[in-house]
Amino acid sequence: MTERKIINIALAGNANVGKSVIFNQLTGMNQCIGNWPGKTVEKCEGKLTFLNYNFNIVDLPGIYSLSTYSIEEIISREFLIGEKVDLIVNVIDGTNLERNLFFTVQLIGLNLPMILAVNQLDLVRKRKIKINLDKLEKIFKIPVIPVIAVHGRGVHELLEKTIEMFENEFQIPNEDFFKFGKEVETGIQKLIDEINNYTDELKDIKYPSRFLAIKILEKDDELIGKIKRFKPEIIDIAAEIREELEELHGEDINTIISAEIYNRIHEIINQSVVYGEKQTKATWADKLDHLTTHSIFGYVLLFIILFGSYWVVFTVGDIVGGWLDEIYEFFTPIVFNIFGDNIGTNIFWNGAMAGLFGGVGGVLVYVIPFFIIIEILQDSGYLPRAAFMMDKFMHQVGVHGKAIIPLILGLGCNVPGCTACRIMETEREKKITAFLTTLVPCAAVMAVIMGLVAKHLGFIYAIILYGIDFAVIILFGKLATKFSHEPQTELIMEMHEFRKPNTSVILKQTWFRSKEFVYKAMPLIIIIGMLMEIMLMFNLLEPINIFLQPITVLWLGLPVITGIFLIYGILRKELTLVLLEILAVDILGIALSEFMTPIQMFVFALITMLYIPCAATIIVLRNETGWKFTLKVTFIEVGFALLLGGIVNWGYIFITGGG
Amino acid sequence: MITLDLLQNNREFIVRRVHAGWRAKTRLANLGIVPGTKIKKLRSAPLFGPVQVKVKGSDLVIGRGLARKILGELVS
Repeated sequence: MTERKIINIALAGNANVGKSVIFNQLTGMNQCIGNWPGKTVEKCEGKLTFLNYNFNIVDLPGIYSLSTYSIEEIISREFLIGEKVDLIVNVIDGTNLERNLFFTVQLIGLNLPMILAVNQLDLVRKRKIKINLDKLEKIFKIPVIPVIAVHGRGVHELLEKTIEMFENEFQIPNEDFFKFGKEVETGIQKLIDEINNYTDELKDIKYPSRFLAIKILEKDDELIGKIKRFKPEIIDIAAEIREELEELHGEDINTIISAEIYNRIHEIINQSVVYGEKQTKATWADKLDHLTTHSIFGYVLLFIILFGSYWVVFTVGDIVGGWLDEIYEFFTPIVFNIFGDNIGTNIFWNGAMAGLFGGVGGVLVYVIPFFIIIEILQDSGYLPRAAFMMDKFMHQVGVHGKAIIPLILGLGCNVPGCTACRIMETEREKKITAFLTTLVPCAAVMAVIMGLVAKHLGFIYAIILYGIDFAVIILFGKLATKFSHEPQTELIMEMHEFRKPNTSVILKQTWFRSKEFVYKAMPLIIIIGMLMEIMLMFNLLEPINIFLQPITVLWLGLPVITGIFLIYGILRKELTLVLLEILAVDILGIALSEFMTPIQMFVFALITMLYIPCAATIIVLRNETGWKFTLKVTFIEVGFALLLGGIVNWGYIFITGGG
Repeated sequence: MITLDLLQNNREFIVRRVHAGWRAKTRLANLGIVPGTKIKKLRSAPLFGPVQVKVKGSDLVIGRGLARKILGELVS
């Protein structure tokens, strides 16, 4: 048996060109597990065996350039230039060649073997655009493969072409198709000569000289920093050339360089693409686009979508959760009959299994439908519309419109919400957004609000709680803006056409998100359920409760036992309600409404909603923003929740005269 | 010359100058918004929100404050 040959491929391209769809087609499952080392950017890696070859495939983040605008750009270029890439597959959107080819030009500058995969050819045909792929192949001197990723067309051809190139010793593309204008080109040549004089000193910087020359001319601070350590002279020369060019053109260097690249691309497009007559008939996507961005219906729709999904999630969760409760109740006497009423059975059934059922019935049944809805909104392209509509409002809380996306995600679970804060471009934007996201009432909080307040006090009180949360978010957003000195960043975002959500993508994503949730939360809930049961048996909860008494009983007016629940709630917020139910219903055998007064329920839910981000959120927040910021957020929220809870309690006592 | 935020919907203009800071300017340049580029304004969000434009075949959303810094000449 011959040994299999290994080929390492990197998928690179703009955001939303179908890169991930190709990645899924190639590797079967979306395997975006873990991050790039030391960075908070998701790394997607997959393997595949085809003929006699093993392919390692890495799906790079969707980016528009190889500069230093975002961390994704830096990660991508460092990965590409490292030793682990044999070939780049540059995926481009056939309906949007001009902007996509800008990135292609940059990639070619890395002097790596490359294939151009022109995707979305079905849409290209529909729009009566004719792309001469042979011509593109001739101009760029790299293989061009037509692809319709959603139908899996062209994916095999990509692999076959890769193997063919591999067997014929990979050819490195040359950049002859593009030279800058005379002045810029002379400057770049001069810098290349300088760099080539010091190949020994600069050998650790693996970028090709021409790429380096262009980047340091562009004031790429990262590469300038690297070169400066070895040869600061080169940087000075670059600065001189830059100044000359900027004076000559009356523009800054990035504008000059980008403009020249775009001009060349424009020529290439003129030679290889024919645009048919524009369709005037509005498609369903156009109509939906108009509706979702309409100055009145757009907001109505946003409101309906948010509350509709909340309602759907709650209804579905309630029904399925009810079934689970019945199943539990049904088996309780059976289990006790079989195993007898002893310590073991109690720990197992009333502890572990109650925890399991509580976790599935109280949380998972809400979280899964929510994830499905979020994935539909994401995959269809609705979320950028929400960002567009909410930009103005989000500026009021110190961030731009994109921040609405983590906030909406936070409604399901603060953990993916905080992770999504990466889409914010600067540290300032990211921190404020993450802070506000931890204040968003997640599904777990919703379970508490609905299961405690809405169920026992009425829906209106649930809405009042949400109103309070909303006000708190605005208040803290305003305060955060006031205390941050850096200027606010403006929104720059691409808006894609609506498309039909891909069922398999949605199910896969939901599966992965839920799986993560189950693995992280379930063992914890089961163990805590058992611990609770044991502690109750041996009366160990008392000391903690007595210690917390001044806060829980005196200030907040809650039953003394709730102290320990609030501590558990730090692990997972829904535990506060789950444990409350276990205690009242399963152990004491009374209804919740007998155990707590209405005002106690309200205060308890209010505290649960605001008092602290749950443990998982705290960990993610630390990963994204560091300990210092995380602790600050945690202390602010705990302090504020206790303050507000006490005010509500004493306000109520004051108004009702102690009733 | 007018600024992008004042351009009427469905009208086009050719970018002449971008007065933004280095970072935003580089980003816009990478996305194709450089002097000489034709931009079509598609719409703006209600209450003086961001503007949506068509540039080089793709739709971009640009915050109102930044749109105010992009100057161009109307295409008649």
